[in-house]
Amino acid sequence: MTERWERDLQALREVRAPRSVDDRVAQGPRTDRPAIPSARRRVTAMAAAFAIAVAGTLLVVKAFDTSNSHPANVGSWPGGTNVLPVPAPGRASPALLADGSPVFVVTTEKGATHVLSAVSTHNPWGVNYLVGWCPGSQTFEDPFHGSRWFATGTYLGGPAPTGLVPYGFTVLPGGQLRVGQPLSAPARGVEVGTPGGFCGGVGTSGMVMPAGVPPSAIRSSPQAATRVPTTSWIAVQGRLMVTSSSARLCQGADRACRNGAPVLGLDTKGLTAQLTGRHIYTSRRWIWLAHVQGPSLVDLTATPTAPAATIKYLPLFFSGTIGWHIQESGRAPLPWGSAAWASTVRFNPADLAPNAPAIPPTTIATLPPNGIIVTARVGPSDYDPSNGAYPPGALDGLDLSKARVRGPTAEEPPGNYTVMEIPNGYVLVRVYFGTAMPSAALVRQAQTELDTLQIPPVCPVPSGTYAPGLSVASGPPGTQVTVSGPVSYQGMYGTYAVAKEQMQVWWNFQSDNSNRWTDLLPGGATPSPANGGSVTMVTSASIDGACSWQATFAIPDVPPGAYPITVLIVSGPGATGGGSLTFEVTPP
Amino acid sequence: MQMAEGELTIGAGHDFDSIFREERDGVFRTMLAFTGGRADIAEEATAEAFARAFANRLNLRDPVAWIYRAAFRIATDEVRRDRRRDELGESELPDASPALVDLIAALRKLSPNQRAAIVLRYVGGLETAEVARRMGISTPTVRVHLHRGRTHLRELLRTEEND
Repeated sequence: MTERWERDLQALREVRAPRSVDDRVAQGPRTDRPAIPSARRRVTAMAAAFAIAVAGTLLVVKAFDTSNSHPANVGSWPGGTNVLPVPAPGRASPALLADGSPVFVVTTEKGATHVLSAVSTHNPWGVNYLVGWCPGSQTFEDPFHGSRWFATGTYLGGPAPTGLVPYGFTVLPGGQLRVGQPLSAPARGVEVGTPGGFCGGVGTSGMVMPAGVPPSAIRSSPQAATRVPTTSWIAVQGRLMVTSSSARLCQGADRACRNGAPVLGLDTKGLTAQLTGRHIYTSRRWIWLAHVQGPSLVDLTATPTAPAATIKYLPLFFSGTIGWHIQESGRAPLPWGSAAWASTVRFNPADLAPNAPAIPPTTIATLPPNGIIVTARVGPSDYDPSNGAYPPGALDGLDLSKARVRGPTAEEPPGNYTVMEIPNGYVLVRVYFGTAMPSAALVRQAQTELDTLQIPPVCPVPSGTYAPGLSVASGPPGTQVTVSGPVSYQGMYGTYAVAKEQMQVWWNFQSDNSNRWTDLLPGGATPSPANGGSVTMVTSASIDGACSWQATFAIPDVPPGAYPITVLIVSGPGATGGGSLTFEVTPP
Repeated sequence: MQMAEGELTIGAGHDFDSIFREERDGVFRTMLAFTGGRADIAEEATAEAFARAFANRLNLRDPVAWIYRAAFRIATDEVRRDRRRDELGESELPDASPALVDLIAALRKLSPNQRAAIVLRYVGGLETAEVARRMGISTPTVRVHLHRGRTHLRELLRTEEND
């Protein structure tokens, strides 16, 4: 006798794939669609690498997550301010102006300040996209299409037609400035760098995204949004649907688009040509900035994902000295970060609930006079990911003799006890003593336990660059050559983020402005050979979790000459350039 | 030549037209269950997996298993990017029968891997080893997913009958 669940499952047999799948398959794999690069990847540094996001796999972007790393910039919106602080050299701060315009205030490493529009000047088919700031490479990048600009807003590379639009401003006393009117964008000039979108190879997880809009300000009905007359930017969520003659922003899953609003200023013919037969251009979850013009929306601007929302903070742990009880939260998502606890007494079960706070309040409240609890936490308030990768020495300097000594704060249980606190910039350590006057012996005991605090091992930072190298640089056909190098892709705090990656070594690929390495990916154009013969992948290596990689191949039977070797880091559908090398083939 | 994906070896071509015709609905159903009824993601994952397989067609030894694994990966990525607590309850499946809506609601309470294993095994009629190959996981793990999925579904649907 079959059970109900088995019978019910048969309902699924009626399901057929929609016809639109056929058209979509005929279009081939995604390569030139709006590419939102994976936020999970990060490279600690990558001197010789060039990188762009290819084959972005995304229908959907989550934007303006309330838990992003710039809560200070989220005020009532619009209703930001035109008076903004001047950031320190090498920093860029995202902000929303009084009219809701997204901008960056940036101070270059040389100390010059600029106010730049956060809207990319590359707007294919009339759709605008926001850019992000890459602290490592000191560039602005369009994570959708890979355009890049210097910190000054000057064009660097990629498809953008101009530099970023600058705003006039006046400097005010007290390290502030008042933003004026937008000026005209500087002309493009020559492409001096490779296209990006991945922060020059560093990955987007460190990218500083434009300032967020509070969720309450995001309108869910495009039609209702157009009924409120305003000259400011509005934020609206919806699915962009296009036909060859019109475009509409639609609410939710309603394909009839009853609460939708027309969108003007788009090249609908160009957009529909992208879709061949379909009308859906984005997921319904996209969040857009736009201006209202009559019953329509104009200046439609896509907002990229807030990468910080996907960061998992590194799981700290105490290896623990004998007699201590230890607990760790494991890898925790924002906004709490990860925490590890050690205590001389057993933790109260109430503190171990899944949604427990970052400190064990019940255990603290009942701590005996000789009891100690050490807590350590990594989280957004302790470490700003835009500062770069979490360095291997991030646990240095946790010295209780230099700790701030205080009583309980409002978030801690009341009582007459002492807290020692050390924020070292990466980790926040708090030590709770069961007494108001902890003895030197108790502090030493706490320090011994604190010294067992650990983070998972990280790949060492290479002394040179992350560029790959060759075991020999020249030789006749048949020469065995090993290509090797350090692996630079790491998670936010040194853990390995991408499980399955592969290094591919390509032979004889002519790489220049018109022949990008994207040609080497499935679905790309036919790659152009640099010399006679063909472009071939000569070897590859899995770099799953490793800190270095190497792969060996035999030089093909080719005429003498200089042959380029291109290294590609392939991860699922996307890839990144891993550097270029040259091999000199000598006569046999 | 060492490859990250074991199946990427140079091999004979396959008749992709017939593979697509025969497998398209099965992949879509599996993805629909795997995503908990997200027809838009199921559609995209299905289409993208076939498109990539077609682009790679000369290099695939076992295209059907490859397509399934690719579709699982794509759907996982899409779902992860698309996760919004308040909208998870929504199904976009057009013209779904009430029985199907109920089933998907029940399936949604399983883990994605449980759903996928259940659908491949009981809707697709595949042996456990084949389910494992298509999901890219081990056979014992599939058995665990199947066992837990069955137990869970049995409870869920029994409860609903009593309501």
